[in-house]
Order: sequence, then structure tokens, then C-alpha cells
Amino acid sequence: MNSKITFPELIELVAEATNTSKRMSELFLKELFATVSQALINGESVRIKNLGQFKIEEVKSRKSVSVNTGQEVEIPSHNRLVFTPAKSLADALNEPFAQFETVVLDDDITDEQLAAINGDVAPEEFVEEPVDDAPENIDDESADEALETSSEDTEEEVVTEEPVALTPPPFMPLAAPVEEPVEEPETEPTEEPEEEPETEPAEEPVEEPETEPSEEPETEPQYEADDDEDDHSIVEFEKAKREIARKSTIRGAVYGALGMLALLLVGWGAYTLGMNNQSKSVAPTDTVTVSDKDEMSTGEQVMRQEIGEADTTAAPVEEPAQPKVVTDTCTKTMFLTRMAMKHYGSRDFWVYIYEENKDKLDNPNHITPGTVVVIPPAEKYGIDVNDPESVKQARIKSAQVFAKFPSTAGSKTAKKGKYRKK
Amino acid sequence: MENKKLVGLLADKLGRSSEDINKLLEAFTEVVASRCGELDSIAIPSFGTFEAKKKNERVVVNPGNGKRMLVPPKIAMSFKISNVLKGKLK
Repeated sequence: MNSKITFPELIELVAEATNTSKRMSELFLKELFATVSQALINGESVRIKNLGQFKIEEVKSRKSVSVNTGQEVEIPSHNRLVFTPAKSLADALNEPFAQFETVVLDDDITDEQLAAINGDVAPEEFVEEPVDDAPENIDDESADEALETSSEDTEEEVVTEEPVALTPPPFMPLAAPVEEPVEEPETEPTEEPEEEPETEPAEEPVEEPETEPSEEPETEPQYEADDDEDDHSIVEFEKAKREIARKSTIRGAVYGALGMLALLLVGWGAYTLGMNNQSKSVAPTDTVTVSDKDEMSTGEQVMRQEIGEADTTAAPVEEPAQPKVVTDTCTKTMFLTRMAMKHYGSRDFWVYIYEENKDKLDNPNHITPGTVVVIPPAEKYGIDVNDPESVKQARIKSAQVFAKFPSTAGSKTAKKGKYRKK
Repeated sequence: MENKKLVGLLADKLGRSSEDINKLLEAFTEVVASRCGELDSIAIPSFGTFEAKKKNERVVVNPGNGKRMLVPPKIAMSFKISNVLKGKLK
């Protein structure tokens, strides 16, 4: 494997294969390459059976720029050797992969999943992550947008003397008073309730108001959860490759949801444990806000208990089968597209979530983190991942929405067009 | 220059029958095929290197209809010319 065979070794191999002396083999090989070289120098092309064709091609002179000096240089015309392997050789080499064929991918395999497989999970999303109070970016494809917003944010943060953290900072008392009231009550009921009954039935009731103040509890677990979702989609995609016709989105969604729950649980547990220690020392510094939060979180807890009671035995709240009104909360990592992916199985359906919450959301490209949106039941708009027509409708609709917001629509639609033209 | 002519030329130069030369040539191509199949590379001084490269699977988009396709991995033969021969060809 990956070893280099030298000329003497080659001579030996050929000699063994033909039962001739090494001397003969050496003479032959030397003469062979000398002859071929000479023919090539004469401008002839040489074809060797079961190996391939060596051909001389003329490269015309062209202009270029010297990398070091920046001056224009003319590359003189020269000859180039082109080797085309013989079909028999190419086939023999490719035998291990011969049974594979190029396949058309299903529409329900998204760019995100593919990115996860290629190992570069849409980097723009991670650019946004560290920034604390970013105006929400709905579209993770618009990279420049993401960069823009994040740079703005760093400026803002400098003003407020926030450290620009590369990882979600553990605790931020300064930012807390502003963020809280909006963020808190909304995220919790939808995101966390599933785990509440298990982690917090007895230990937390008093600590709660203090542990909540920063927004990390939401962002952190979600960050992990998203990763996990991607992991699952890798598995899913691996399957899709083997039996490509099969649509495993539903199963994937269930796995994703389950994995997400598990991670949320772990993340939340670990976080609250850590916070219990930290928050006590910080609490005195923002006494004013604590009272606000008290109200918030007591209300919250009531809700939690309600949901907790209902849910202790039942399935997770976010399962699509759930009859009551499903809501979700925008965060730095949870855009409309992500939600659509989660609830409907395809990001293309984000437009329906937008439609349903038009009064709350203005520009779909700038969504305030913490906004609670109602996820309409799939039947309401005839959402069906497996139906190409439905997906197409959604795309047309989103194009219309973007037409209303021309400032950012350009980059978005242009990109969309590049990837999938419909 | 086709294979037949090459064999004849070599037979003349080495004073052997073209049958022998054919055998040797076949043995050589077989060695190349088998060793390159194991992703080895075969270096021949002042000529070049025969090398097989594994290309990873990738997704391509048909610009006509936007369909995405998964292209399977493959092992492709490549030949890198040596600088000596490259200089002579210029």
C-alpha cells in the first residue's frame, strides 16, 4: 500500500513473471522506455497494449503573472505529455468500486446533511454561534451575511465591554438584564419541558431564578444537539447511499429528535450543576434583574409543571404527531430553516412557518433570537417531504417572500439558483 | 506508434523474437496493473511514475435541471512525467 516500487524491484518482478533472467528483464525495460521516450521526443504518440497511450500535446504560449513580483510573464509554448490509461487497465484498477453507479440524490437529502458527511458542516453556522446577541440570520447559506452580522456584533460587544468569546461564555451577567425578559419565558416551555420532570423535580425550585439569567442554557445544549442531529443524518445518508430509493427522513427525524433530547438532558443537567455554584457568587451583582426573573421563572415553572405532568409518560412534545399547537423558539442556531428541517423534514418548508408568524417576524433574514414561532401542522399547508410538488410550491413561495426583501434576497436567491434550479 | 510496431522495434534492438518481447511487455503491464491496484506507485528513472490515485466520492449538480448526483469513489491511473523527459520534450 502506497509504497514506491523502484526500478530494480520492477526488474525483479518482471523477471519472475516471465521466467527470464534479471539481465534480460533489465535490458528489455531500459530499451522499452528509451524507445518510448525517443518516439515521444520525435513527436510521435505511443500506444502500449493494456497500458495506455502516451501522447504529446502542444501547449500554446500564454500570459501569466509572476506570483512573487506581480509582473506579467509570458509562459512560452511547450509540449506536454498526456497519458491516457487503456480501458482494460482502468477497469482492472477500478474493480473494487466497479459495482457503484452514479445515482441521483433524493430531494429530501439536504445540503446540510451532505455538508456533514463531507466533514465541513456549513461553516457559516459556526461563525454565528459565538456571537452573543446577533440579529438572527435565517439563512445559513448566505455566508457573507453571516460574516457581516458577526462583525457588527463584535463591535457592539466591545462597546458593552463584553469579551468576544470564541466559545459560548459560561456566564454573562452584563448581558443578562437586557436579554432575559425576552429570551426566557419563550424558550423554556418549548425546548426544555421534556426533561424538566426528570432533572428538576425536587432539587431546583429555589435555585431556578438564579440559574436562568444567562441565555446559555438554551444555546449550549442546542449547539450540541445540532451536531448530534448531523451525526444521525450521516448514518441516515449512509443508508440512503446503499438503498438510495428509500426515504428514511421520518426515521431520521425521530432519531434526531431523540438524540437531541438526550443531549439537551445531559447538557442541561451539567449546566445547572455548574451554574448552581457560579450563580450564587454572581447573584448579588444584579439584584435589580433578579426580581424580574423571579416572576418570569415562577410563571415558567408553573408551565413546566403542567407540561411535566402531561409528559412524564408520553412522547416528546416536538414529535410531529402531537395534536396541540407546536411552537418553537428562534435562537442563534435555530432558524426557520432548521425548524422546518426538524418539524417537516425539509428546510424548504421554512416559508410556511414564516407565513404563519408573519406578524411577529418581519424580514426572514433578520429574526430576533428568542422569538417564539408557531409551527403550523403539516396538513394546513399540505406539507409533504415526499411530494416533489409540495417542495416545489414551498420553493416558489420562498422566492416570493425573498422578493419582498430585496436587500438580502439577491445573494440568497442567487445561491439557491446555483444549487437547485427549479 | 502502435503496440505492434513498438514490439517489432524492441525485438530488433534486443535481438529477440517478438514473441518474447510480447511476453515481457505483457508481464510489465500486468505488474503495473496489479501493483497500482494496491495503490503502489512504480517509478521509472528518467521516464516517469505510474501511480494509481483514489478519488473520493462526491456530489455533483447537473446545471441543467438542478438534480444532485452522487458520484461513487474510484481508482484512477495517473502518470507523472519525470523532469528529465519533460526537459527533453520542450
